[in-house]
Amino acid sequence: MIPSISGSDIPRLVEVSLRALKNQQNEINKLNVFPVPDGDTGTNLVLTMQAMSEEIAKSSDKSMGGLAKALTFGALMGARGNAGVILSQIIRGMCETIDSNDAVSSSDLVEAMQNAVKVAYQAVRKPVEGTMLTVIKDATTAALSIQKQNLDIDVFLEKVLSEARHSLERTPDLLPVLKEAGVVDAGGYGLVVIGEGLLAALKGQELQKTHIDFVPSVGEGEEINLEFKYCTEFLLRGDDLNAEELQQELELWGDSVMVVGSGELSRVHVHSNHPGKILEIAVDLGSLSNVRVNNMEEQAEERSRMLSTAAKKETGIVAVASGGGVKKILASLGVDKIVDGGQGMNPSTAEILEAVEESSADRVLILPNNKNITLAAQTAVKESKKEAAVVQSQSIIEAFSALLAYDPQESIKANLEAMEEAASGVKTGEITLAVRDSKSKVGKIKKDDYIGLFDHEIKVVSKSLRATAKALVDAMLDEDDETITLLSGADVSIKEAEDTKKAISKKYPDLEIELHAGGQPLYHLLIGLE
Amino acid sequence: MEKIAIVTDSTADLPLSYYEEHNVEMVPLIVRFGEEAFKDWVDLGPKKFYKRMRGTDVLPKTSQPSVAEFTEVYEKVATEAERIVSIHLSSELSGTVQAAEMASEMVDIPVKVIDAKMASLGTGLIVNAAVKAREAGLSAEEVIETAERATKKIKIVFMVGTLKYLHLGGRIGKAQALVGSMLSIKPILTLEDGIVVPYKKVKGIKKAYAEMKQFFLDNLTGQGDLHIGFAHADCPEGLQKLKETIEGETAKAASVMESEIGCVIGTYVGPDSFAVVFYED
Repeated sequence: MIPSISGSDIPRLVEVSLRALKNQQNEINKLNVFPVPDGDTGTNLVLTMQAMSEEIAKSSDKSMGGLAKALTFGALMGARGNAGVILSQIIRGMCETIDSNDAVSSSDLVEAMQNAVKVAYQAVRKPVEGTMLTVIKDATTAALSIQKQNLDIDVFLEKVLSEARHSLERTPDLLPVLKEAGVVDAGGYGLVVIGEGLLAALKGQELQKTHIDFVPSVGEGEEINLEFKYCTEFLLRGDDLNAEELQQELELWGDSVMVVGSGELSRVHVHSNHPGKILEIAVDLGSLSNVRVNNMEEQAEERSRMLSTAAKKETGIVAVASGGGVKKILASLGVDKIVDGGQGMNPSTAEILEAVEESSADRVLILPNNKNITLAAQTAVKESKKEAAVVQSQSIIEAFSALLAYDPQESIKANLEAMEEAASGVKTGEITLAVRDSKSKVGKIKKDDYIGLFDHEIKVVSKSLRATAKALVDAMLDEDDETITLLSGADVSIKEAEDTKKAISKKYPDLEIELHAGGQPLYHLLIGLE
Repeated sequence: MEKIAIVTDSTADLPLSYYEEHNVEMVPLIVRFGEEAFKDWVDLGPKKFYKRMRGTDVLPKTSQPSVAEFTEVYEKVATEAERIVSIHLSSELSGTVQAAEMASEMVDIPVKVIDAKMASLGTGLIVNAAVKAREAGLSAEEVIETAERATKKIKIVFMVGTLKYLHLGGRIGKAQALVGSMLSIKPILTLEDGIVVPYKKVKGIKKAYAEMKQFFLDNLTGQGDLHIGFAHADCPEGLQKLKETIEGETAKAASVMESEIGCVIGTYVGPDSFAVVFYED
């Protein structure tokens, strides 16, 4: 039960929040996509808060009022980046209303939050919803709704934070760029972490981890194309600075313009392509310090690199296959790398090895999809620096079934077991053309006859694809089979394939039949039965 | 005897007539197609919803009830009841529980908010358990205990027509959404601690029924009365076959409920999905 916050609590509150923020600095950086994906929101918030912490350590006046002034000043001096400046304004807004109180109760805090919302929204020319502004606003609305209950401050904060978290989770609904990137707002996240740090500190604890678990997705080969390349920030000292005028002038040269502070000391933040011009404009008005220019394009590229390493799957898949349609299906089932090859076209060990090394995963499973390729795949496993293994799949059809059991988050061993079991549950039939006259158990074979193979044996010989397919299914079928997968080869027309499918489904109306244009060479039709 | 009010939300996927017959208050979630907003079940029923969903590429959006909508309902039932039991959609899937909890602090009547850690008729079965307990004249504490017991025991297994909607709605990850372009692949899922978890992917609908039956049998203990619920998203034939598959067990059940999956849950599972929920008590 903590009825209120007193001045002597402040240093510890700031310290624990700062530590919490530092602990999650990298997570926050990764989330940063708005307004520019420069991946520095976490760092900026930490630096801003660090300055606050230093300023209160320096302050000789340890009363609530004295510390509030120190916090406001520290935040202004140290504010970095969009998020840092907005945080400094939230701090300023809160401190304005509490600076004369000795102890801050939950209802004082409501008033402080209301003012913070006002000040923060004013600082941003065009407030965008789905950012930390929205989070502080929603949290304040929640705070207002429970104000009359006069709760102890810890209980109060807990409830307010609960809404802040929900507000944060809603940010992708408000700001499409967040949704596309699969993230919540970075600044909002930082604000929640700070709030949770405060609460932990009030309870005499440390913050373990904020439990909003968003993994940002990174677009393949994400193109970074910024309208404004340089983030320019500085402190401006002058007499009676006109923030509004300066803001308007700077907006001609860029965006994300913020001019905050007082007539004597302002913090300026601009994204533009002409950092020199920005400084020129400012230097006419007063004296500059803490000038910082960041190349946001470089930062964005760095963030993108960091994410693509973080996006690694635990277990990846390399498959040997040929045929455009087949490759497409394999990729859709989670295969990372495809090595060209198949019956009569065995890829080399080196080619398989290269694909294994290139896979984004640290652990790799190889689907050779042909008995003759298994050995090359096994050699590649031995030579690879990665943990790798070969799934004993003998056909593309088996690969499809094996991939249904594949789980990228699982270990090699678990996947191997599940995938091989799945692969063994499907039967593969192959239809190809005879290249010369010969004999078989089922009769004479003429050059250009269709031959149907199952279990390494010729089961059917016929002049027509349709008849071969029907007879081969006959030979393969068991009573508990339910589905047929047909993959038509490169030399088979769509109509021929459709007709074949129709003929089979007419004969076996109870089976589910699915036809894909596999585009594989050699085999006119691959038939999977399970 | 204390008078107990039971409150739930529309994602319990009970038909509107149920609420009337059993004196349960339902707070609807909202489903939106672009600018048009509908109260789940109230303004838009499953049939029209799926028809519309199948006819558009635009994904509907959903939103939870506001705190004010909950306080309003709580205050309304407070005129006749002394206690409220409020049972809702898994907090892992929606903020509805949170809104209910915030509202519960703002009203004078004591409210017990229960996180069902379930969705659809899973929540519905828990609501029904509370209703039956109240009808049997049990005390508020006992009604709460009954509902909480059901919450702990209840299981769900469901098949979706495609993982697309769960993925786009952010209810499962990208890796888990891998199903490829093969139509005959049937994803079967469950809820664990209120979170959507893939159970199996199989090829062919018959295997899907067999896997769902297996899940069902694996989770039966034979202890207590069996309560079952079936629900479908515009897929009555699929559900019918599932029912036939587990007919033997259904025959022994103490209660069987059946309903459709409403607009809000339907937004995330999509049409051609069906589920069985069950618990023994």
